Amino acid sequence: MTAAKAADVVPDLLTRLAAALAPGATVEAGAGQTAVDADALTLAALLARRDTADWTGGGLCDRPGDDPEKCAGAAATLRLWTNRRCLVVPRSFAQRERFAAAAAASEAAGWPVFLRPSGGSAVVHRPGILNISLVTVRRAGTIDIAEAYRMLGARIVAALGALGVPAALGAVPGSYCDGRFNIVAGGRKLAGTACLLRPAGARIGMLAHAMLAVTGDVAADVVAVARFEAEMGLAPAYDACAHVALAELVESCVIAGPGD
Amino acid sequence: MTEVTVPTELWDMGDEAAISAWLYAHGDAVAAGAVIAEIMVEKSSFELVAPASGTLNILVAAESPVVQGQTVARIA
Repeated sequence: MTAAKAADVVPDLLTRLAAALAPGATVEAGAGQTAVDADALTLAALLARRDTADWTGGGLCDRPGDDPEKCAGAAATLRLWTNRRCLVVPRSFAQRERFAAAAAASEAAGWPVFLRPSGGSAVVHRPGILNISLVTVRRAGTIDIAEAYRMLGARIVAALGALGVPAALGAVPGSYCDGRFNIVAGGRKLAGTACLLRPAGARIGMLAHAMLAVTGDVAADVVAVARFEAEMGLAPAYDACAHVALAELVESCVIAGPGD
Repeated sequence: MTEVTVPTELWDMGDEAAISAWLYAHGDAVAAGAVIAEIMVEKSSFELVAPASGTLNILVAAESPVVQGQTVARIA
């Protein structure tokens, strides 16, 4: 494989990944906080649907007798989106004493900081990172956090497999916002994941989302996160080599492929 | 007096959980159904909802660890 051939593979990679995740889906190009907030609005809307008198969708998997096989599609919405370059942190960060100064310093460095309702710590959004948001509503007691992560993770792992990139769920020591349910390829973190759980009576709404580095400089991402967290008074100790972008993996997979 | 408790069955007993933020202050009036706190566990944020209306009496400070079933506040 020549460099020119490899370059041909990469530019449409985000589109190809999106198609593998959800054929026919469009990728929204978001703009900051509004794009982040859309996930929680979707969750609220899905929770509210059951409360409307004209709800005929059935099968939200939140009633005894709902067939999970039949309602899997109706019970969930999948949103694919990118954002402009920024950092996104759990909203609880905003209550910390040093947040305002740290956010101002980050913005001055070209990384404005926005808030999200899910857990974890600081992550990066930018046009080369695909955000994958899965919103589902279930009957309380029928799903837990691990299951929500596995639902999202299985979909992403399958899509990556379709692109020829083997991946799995796991922790990656040295990565920012590390956790047990990262998407890992070749021992490096390709995507981070987080969840929001919102109880609503006998139901529970769950948002599970991932930010997957498709293209771009993941080392620069790590620097931005570490700088912000240091300003927050935390003690970031990250290894840029713990992260990888999909483009690197696809190039190497193609280059190593038979016939080249 | 209504107790506000940490949910059960949403995560493994061994997972570390903590109150990441109270969204109301001790002594504030809260309405039933309002999200009054967030519990962080396994990079997930669980929204703790007020089970009743009244005055919030916080028993566990923000950023403190909690366990399943623990009473973290009372509403009177």
